[in-house]
Amino acid sequence: MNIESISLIDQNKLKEDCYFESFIEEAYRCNFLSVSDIERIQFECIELLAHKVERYNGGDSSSIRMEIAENIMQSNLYTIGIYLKSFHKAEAAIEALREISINELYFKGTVEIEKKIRDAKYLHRKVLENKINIGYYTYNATIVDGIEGFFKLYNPEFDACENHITADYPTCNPIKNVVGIEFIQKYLEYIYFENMFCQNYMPEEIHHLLCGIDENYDYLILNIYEQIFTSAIGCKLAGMESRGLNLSDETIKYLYGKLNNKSSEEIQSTVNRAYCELKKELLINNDLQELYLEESLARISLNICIALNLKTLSKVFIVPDFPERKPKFFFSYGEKMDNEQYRYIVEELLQCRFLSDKLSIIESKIKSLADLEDIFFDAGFNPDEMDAIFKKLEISELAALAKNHNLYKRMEALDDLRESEQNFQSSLFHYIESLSEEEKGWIYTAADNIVID
Amino acid sequence: MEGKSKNKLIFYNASIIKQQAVNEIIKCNKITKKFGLTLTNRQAAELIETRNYVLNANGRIEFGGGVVDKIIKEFCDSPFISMYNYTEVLHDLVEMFYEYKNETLDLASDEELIKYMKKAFDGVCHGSIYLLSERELAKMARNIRFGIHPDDSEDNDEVNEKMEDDFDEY
Repeated sequence: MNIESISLIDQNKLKEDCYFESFIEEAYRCNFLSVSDIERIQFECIELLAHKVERYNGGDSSSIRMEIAENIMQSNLYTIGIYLKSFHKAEAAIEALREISINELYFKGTVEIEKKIRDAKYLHRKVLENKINIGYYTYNATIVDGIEGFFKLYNPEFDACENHITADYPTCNPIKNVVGIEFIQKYLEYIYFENMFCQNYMPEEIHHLLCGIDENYDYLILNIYEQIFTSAIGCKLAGMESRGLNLSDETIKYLYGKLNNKSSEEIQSTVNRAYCELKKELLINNDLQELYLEESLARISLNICIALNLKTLSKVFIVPDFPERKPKFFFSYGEKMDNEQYRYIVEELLQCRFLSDKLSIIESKIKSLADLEDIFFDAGFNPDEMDAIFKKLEISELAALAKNHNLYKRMEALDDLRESEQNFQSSLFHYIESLSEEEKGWIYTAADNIVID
Repeated sequence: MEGKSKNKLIFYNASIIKQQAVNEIIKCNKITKKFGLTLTNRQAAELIETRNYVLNANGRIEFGGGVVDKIIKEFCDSPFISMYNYTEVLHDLVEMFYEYKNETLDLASDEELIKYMKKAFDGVCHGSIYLLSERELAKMARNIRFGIHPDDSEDNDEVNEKMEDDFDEY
């Protein structure tokens, strides 16, 4: 077999996630495998599947549901594909397909997978070592628990091509067309490079940068590295040190002036220059990490171009926020009354016919916001009655209620709450929304900064 | 080749599987001959056709002779099977085996299910395929699904009587 004939195999047609099938198709198309070769491979694949099905059933059953058989077959072909991928030349892989039985190829594939599992576990340890010390839930849950969960669930014998976990924390550079252990390896590799870059910045700086996106960034799904890298590039574009990630509104205005009216190629080269300066500042000299950063850089340049067109550069370059520096208001909900007394008041309110009577009972007998909140849930008020009670409350009390029910952010789904709480939240929200813009602004600003004892 | 690749089970070659299965069934003739029961190549192939049809209808797949040879070996000494009804009974048994394999949620092993079928066929069903399928196996599948012992029949007396009445009419 000569080199010319080997080059006929179109690498672009080989699919990473079903490598074996696409490789056989290509080899058959290019006449490197004959019909008899294909028939032998088919027959041996069936034999292997039969053997695996027997193992799966533990000898109890000779038949199996079609979808399980398909999964096992996919797993077998994936395992063989892993071995074939280990050849650097297509020629050698074709020779292996011709000379070695499917059973043996599968066995060699399992050895490769075992090796990959060991490598992935080692990489996971390294990732945990250079993990960013930040309390971002999605990041920690995926990097620590999610990956550990994968190693517990991964069964290379029957489910070699299963990912098992959703890997909710996204990587900046997308991972395409790989599944099973290859996906986890790639994911860990990407996270490792991202962490390595993030280690150049203090956890507090990272926290403040993310607060610039949203103070409650814990609820969001975002990639930390992408935000830091973009901000660092922004600093360099503005001629600043990247450490500190101290972009300001003025800097962003300056960047807008600097980059506006430039073509995408010019922006790309400006960003590339900034990247070179950033490398010098951070002393980045790891080739693999550089490759990763350069791939991310293309994405960042594109984001900048789009943001310039949409005049939303402040959404790409984030100005750090310092929530701890904001003034805080402390508000006490007060002591709850005796249970017996409370029950008596609720009974009284339930039996009341007129709103005026209910209001007078509340005014005379309810002395704390904690009790009033309970009354809202238990006394079965209709929306109009609730509105009438809200009117009697002061701005600070409305803000405290809004804060306690996360109303100022509207982030928690109402569906998770009991009906009386849903009604209360809905009425409070509509009441606040019906107020003047000025009053609404006071309430939401106060709710943002209030601390409830 | 390219067209076939869309199917995940590209590597199933039906003719190879079928020939392999027919050979295994024919081998059973050595055992069944002493009971006066034999199958020709054509009959074996038809049995495999039935098996393939039923497997497909029940969303299952099987390799080699699978359970057909096990059913033949288990049922060949039944007093209710002769050369006159041999193939017909085998077709029915194969059909109900796979149906009840699914109905029992794969919780009963092949051997358990076949032995239960044989015991009921020779026993309470007196060779009736109808009673075996509609009463005994249905009861067993229900018991297994509810986590009760397969033979438990406490709640089924009424059903049994009705089934026997139906059978008399049938």
